[in-house]
Amino acid sequence: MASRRSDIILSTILLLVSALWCWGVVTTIPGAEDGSRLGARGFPLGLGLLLGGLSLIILLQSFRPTPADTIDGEAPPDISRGAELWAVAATVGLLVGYAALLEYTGFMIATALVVAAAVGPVLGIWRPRLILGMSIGLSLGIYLIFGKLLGVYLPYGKLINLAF
Amino acid sequence: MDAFASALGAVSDPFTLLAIVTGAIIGIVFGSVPGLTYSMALALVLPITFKFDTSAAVGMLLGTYIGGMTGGSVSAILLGIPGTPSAAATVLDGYKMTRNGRAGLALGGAVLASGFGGVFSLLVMIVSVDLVARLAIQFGPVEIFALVLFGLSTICGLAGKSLVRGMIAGVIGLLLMTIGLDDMDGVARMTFGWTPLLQGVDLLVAMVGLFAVPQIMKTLIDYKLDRAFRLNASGVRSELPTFRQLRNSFWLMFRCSALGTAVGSIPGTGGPIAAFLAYDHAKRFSKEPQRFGKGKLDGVMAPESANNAVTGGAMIPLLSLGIPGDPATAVMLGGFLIHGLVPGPMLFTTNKPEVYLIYLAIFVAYVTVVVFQYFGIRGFVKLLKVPPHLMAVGILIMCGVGTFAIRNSFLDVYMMVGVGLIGYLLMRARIPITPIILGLVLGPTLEREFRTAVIMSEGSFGVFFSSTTAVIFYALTIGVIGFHFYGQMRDAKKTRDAANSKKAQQQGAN
Repeated sequence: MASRRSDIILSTILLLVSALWCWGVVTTIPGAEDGSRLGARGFPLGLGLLLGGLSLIILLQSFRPTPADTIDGEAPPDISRGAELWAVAATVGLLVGYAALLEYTGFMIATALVVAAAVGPVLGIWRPRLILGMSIGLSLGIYLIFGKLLGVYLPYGKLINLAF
Repeated sequence: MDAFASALGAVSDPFTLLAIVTGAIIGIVFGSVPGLTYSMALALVLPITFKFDTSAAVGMLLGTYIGGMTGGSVSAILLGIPGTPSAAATVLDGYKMTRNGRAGLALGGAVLASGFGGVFSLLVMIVSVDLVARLAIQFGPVEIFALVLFGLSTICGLAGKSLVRGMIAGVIGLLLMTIGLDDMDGVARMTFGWTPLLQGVDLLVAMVGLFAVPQIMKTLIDYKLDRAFRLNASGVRSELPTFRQLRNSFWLMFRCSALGTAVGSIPGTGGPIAAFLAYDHAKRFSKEPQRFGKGKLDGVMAPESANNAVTGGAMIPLLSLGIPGDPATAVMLGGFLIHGLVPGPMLFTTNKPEVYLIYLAIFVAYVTVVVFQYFGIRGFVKLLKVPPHLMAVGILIMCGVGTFAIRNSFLDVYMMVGVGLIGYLLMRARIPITPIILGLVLGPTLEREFRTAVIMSEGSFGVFFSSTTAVIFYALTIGVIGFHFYGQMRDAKKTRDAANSKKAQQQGAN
């Protein structure tokens, strides 16, 4: 039943995306000037319509008397909602925070801070030696291997910088 | 000969060698740890290769690919959890051998069979890839369009159990690739006046986001629910099979390698199918079939030689036709394109030294993998003891560093997070991720060849049916989709019948 509901939500969202996409294509991309070419509009428009068609199939499937689970043969994964929300929020929060810190404090400080935040407050492992070891080890290790040995450009901070 | 000498020179360059060896080690590590995939490793390695010259970059990617394919057996044998889906068949006898106190022999046998399968498929690939390319060199836009369409039909094989959901994923990938500046007409598409979007959705950003971010989320969920794996083995050392055991298993490895190469050359199939077919073959033709599943060495060597032979097999359509057959080769195709190598028939005319370089790099990677996996088993035991949630922290950092390194852009890092979140939501909605990558990689060629064919025929769509080769590819495409559709319907009917009979039994009991 939950699967059927999620299929209805999914197909409705995809139908909406498809409609918005087609509208965007028609209103912003110029069509071909003559009939001998497909132009820049043809492909995205065709794909948008195809997405709509496929979404419609999912929607119609979800109204069939047999539950969608048995049709697709795949039951939705058994995941606790709270754990899932926590994991998604933690990953997105850490990555966004890392991007912001990289911009302002540069690679070394940003990496050390984010690793410490991930191990301590996020994972809840309050072992100072582990936090310190991972923070320094990862930032220094990546700096030496990628920055120095492989020549990968690591970000410099706008405010402070410890990379040299 | 000059081309070969040039390739030999490039591959023996210390930096290229280091890149291949590093790639192989990264691949083995990602392949051996359950939850980390070598497709993810390739996506993370790709931005790092950005600054390398072509030979080092290609070497590192190939090393990662081959290391990843081989590494899956370590956790399959020691933990009973396959590090990669290709190693699932290895669990059946490999883990039993560990429980019987013969982990060392299982690991040694797996390493040897992996190397055998890989080198066997490399030789087959060298012979056949040139033949296929010679046939394909006469292809025009219509044939290439039909061929790419056939390549996209492999979505069926990568789509999990729902064909429609797989197709939706493929279309999402194709839609994303149309965003940005249109190469042919020079007009902006779906940018809504936002200049940064003119350069389009970067393939690497999408790959890191789609492969790595959802995996970090899943690892954290497992951590929260306390269902991560734990390794209890210690003091394990690899032990090679005796000469007698090897002599007994040689023809089995030979047959399974041939089977793996053949399966690998069919887009959309891949390692898991080859490994299970090989296991079944080994059991069927064994004098002691009853010992399979109870810790028989042949039950490890057969799937391991087959799943590694898939690497060479998968390279045949990838190099000669530009068609990737699985997620990892899709990422590699993206990597080759970024480094100026355009897989397809022309590759053998325009980039002959690079083609030889690919052959040599694969060989070096296999040697590295065999040596490293045989002598470094204690390291793997230690590695598998590192909790996955701590490894996820390292991967999270690599996602940020790798994505930034692509174009030195912070916007890319934010885009990667966004794409990763969308990827996770799509996964939860049971939309597979790999077809999105396939759409992103093959989309530009599909559109370019389609539009070129229409221009050349002055607007006549009949041109798409003017070539016999193209029609054959259309028929194959329809055949592949039809075959998967039929299989899906049959499975659904079975499930429905089982549900109905259960219901009837319950009603009868009441």
